[in-house]
Amino acid sequence: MNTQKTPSLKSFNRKDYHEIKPLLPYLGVIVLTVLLLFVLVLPKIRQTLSARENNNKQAQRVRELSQKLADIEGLSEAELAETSALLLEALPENNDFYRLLSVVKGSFSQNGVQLEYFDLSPGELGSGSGSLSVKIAFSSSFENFKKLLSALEKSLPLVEVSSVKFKTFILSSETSQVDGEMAIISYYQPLPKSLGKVGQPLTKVSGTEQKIVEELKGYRRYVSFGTTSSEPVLVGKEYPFPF
Amino acid sequence: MKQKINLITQEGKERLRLLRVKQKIKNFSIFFTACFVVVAVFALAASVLVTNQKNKNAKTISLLSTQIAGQEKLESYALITADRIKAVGELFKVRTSYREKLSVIDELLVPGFFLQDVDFTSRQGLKITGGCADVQSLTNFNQKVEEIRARKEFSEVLVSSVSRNSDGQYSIVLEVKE
Repeated sequence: MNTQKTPSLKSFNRKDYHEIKPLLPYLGVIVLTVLLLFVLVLPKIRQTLSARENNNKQAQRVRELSQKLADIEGLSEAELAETSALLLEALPENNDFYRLLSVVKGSFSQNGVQLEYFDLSPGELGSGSGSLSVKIAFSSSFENFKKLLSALEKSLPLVEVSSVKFKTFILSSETSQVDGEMAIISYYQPLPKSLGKVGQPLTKVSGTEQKIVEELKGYRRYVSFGTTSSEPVLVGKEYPFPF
Repeated sequence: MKQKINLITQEGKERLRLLRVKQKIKNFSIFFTACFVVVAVFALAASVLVTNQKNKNAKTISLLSTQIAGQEKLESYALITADRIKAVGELFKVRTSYREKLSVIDELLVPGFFLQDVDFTSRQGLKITGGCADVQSLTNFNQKVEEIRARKEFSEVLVSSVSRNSDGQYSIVLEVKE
């Protein structure tokens, strides 16, 4: 006869519960810790890694800005102002025909070439970049004509004689007389519209480009149009610039 | 013969096993919690450092941007200078130089030859239209052309047209390419 009682489920669970009860806080801590790990700590770590990458990019930007500031502070304002003024004289920002006429009048006058008449159509002032052309009727000796061409090559603003048509060409040991018509082109270009982004590196001038500035310094500038100067006047012809 | 007698009952063994398991669970939870705390502290510290660095960078960038904006005048001069130098450099590459071309014209001015037209920008060279009064000056002119051609200073020296007018004069078109 089996006297052992079959343990009931109720008594069995109660016994196990009593065994496990002291461990419940520890198990609870583990669960809570795992939860906090996935909900708080891991996202925080991901966020920190992402922020660190952004910091690297920011550090690069700081370096670029520092370099740009150092470059700017290393510039001489007076020198730059002078250079930019020279370059703007060489290549004006608009189709200012007065400057072109100054060059023409000055160079013709100083090289003994008579300016008979000119034909100029400047168009709308300040429109885009391009060139301005003037046709000029001239009269001089061939030697003075050659001097004029050389003088125009080294004048500011930069001009170019695109063509010459001779009406008269007399060249002998006793006489030298040429007259005709020449076409002179002057160039212009508008100024840059903006400085660009703050972080954009400063555009530097290379050694080769600096030579261009040095060359332009040797070019001739003529006084502005309207200033009186001595000019040969042909007998029987009116002074071409009465004002 | 010795006999081993286990004085611990089955129930006792079970109880001992349970005690060991409980101890392991306790130890594990303490260890896990300690690790979590360490990781959390490091993560928090790293986050604080990175945030501080981010704020510091942002302030530095703002300060540098303000300083650069304050140097707008210098920067605009520098931009104009660079822009203009580039444009003038391009112009110099295509602009006609008269010295060489005038020396060619000088050389071609033989007695009896006269110029009618000079085109300085013709295909980056020189195009001369002129005339010779008689055959002698035409011969002298041709001789000069040959001399210039022989020096090989130009890529091409070409008499593109020769014609005789009714008055006995010769019209010539000469092209000199650089």
